[in-house]
Amino acid sequence: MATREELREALDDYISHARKSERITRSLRKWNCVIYIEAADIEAGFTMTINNGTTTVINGAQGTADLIVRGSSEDLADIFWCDANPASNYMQGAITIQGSPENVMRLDSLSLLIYLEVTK
Amino acid sequence: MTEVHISNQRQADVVIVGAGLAGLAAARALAAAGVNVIVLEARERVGGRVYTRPASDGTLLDLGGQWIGPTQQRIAALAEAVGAATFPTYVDGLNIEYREGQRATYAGAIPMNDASAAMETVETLLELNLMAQDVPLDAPWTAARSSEWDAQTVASWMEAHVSSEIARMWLTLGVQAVFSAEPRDLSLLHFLFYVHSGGSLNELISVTRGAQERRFREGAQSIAEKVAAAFGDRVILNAPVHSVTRDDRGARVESDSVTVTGKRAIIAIPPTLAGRLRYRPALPAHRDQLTQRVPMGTVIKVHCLYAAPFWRDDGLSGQVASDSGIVRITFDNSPASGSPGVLLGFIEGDEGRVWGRRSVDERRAAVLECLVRYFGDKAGTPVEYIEQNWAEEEYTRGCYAGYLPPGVLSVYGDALREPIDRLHWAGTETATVWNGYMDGAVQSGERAAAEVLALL
Repeated sequence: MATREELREALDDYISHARKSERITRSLRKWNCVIYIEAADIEAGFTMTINNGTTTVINGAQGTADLIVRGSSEDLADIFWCDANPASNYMQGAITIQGSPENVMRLDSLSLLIYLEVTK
Repeated sequence: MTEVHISNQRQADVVIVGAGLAGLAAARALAAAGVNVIVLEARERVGGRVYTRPASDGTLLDLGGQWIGPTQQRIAALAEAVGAATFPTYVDGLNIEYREGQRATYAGAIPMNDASAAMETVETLLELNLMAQDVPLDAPWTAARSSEWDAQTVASWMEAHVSSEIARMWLTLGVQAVFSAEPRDLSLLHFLFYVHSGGSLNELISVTRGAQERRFREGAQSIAEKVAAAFGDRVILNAPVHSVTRDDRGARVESDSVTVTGKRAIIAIPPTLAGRLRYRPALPAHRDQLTQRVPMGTVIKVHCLYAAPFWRDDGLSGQVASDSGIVRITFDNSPASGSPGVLLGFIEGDEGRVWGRRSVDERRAAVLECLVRYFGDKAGTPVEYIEQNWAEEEYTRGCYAGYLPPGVLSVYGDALREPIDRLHWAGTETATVWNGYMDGAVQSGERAAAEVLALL
């Protein structure tokens, strides 16, 4: 189980990798989305806002989420630290995502690109 | 002396041609509304492209359609209604990537051992998924770029947009696995429609959260059998229909053994087979030209049974993605109990077309050679080898479904479902959701039934 602070640290690290990648930044330019990430086991949530290629994160919920991502703190931390492949069968079952098909597709793609960028 | 053949004459409110899932779903929906139906089936069994048969030890094998995924609500509802239980496809362990003679392992739906190729594959999947969202499901020919997309193939699009050879290879494998056809066979517009009808490419190729997520404990054909059982002798087997005559009073559907007349008829067989029936009067050119242009995919489904699923002990899921060989996609198809071990392989597209003309022994040897490369020597000595060549089936002529080459959907797509006088069309090829799948078959049957009910 990860703490709220550990999870936030992992998420910040995750976002920093996205910002460093020209490839990922390019793909984010066409996407505006508010993503609420919830670790139900520790009652922690974060709002990640993607807007014209820039990504910001705040603690808690803010605004209306286009996507809601839910998982255990441990599974979310594993994804954010890129210790786990988000496309693995386990993670596909462990993490739930609610939102429009287009936004879900874009998030799936983003998470895989970050994972591949970090682990290559 | 002139020989006169008098066949059995029967009457119903609605005559249905084909006792696959589409025809049976239509029959069930009509019967629920109090309509009298008779279903004519060419084969000695129901189910069409779902066909379950036991191996020598009694293990049930699905030789046709077998999987159900999370958003396939209609087949799920039908399965629940008839008490057909499911279990999850085995996914524990790692998948095998076999590329350029090298074997590696990976997790998830996309081989990732070449990160750069994997990234381009991921980006391409997203691009295609987003394009697919722009194709209306009920009228894909009205997409803003329908003419442009229907004028090219998936292959020509990949050539122009995907720079990595490895990424093109994996995408080709995905197309072969989903369509049992080659990228050069498929209209880009049809491909995008098909993707949208199943949600996304990710859902079409995935196990968890995807189309291959679960299987039926008693086999997929059990659903068809249970639905048909309720109709008794109103489902007539061994009655291949050869003629359909219509006028302003109804339709007369003829086979050698029985002729059934009804107020309306639902033709619930693939378009290419529907086009081989004789219609009186002849169908309009638009409909006939459509059915001339919807070839069936080519797949030989093979099952190898072993005493146990030995690959599981090696930490493997049983899934393979390969760039070569007669079998390039495999799954662990063991029963829910885990015994015996069953490896499922597909001989698809060009491989199906070439190897379909060889002998069973030649195919078996080639398949086992592949499996040994992927899983080791134990894979070379199965207890039993069972294959099903769907192109050889007279009353199917290919699987998984009819696909559309360039220039068809944008010009003839509106003929897929449009009734002609008292004739209605069903079959998974006519579905707007999960086209090509069991779920689409059920949707199409229910839609055709609703059309008929509105007019009876």
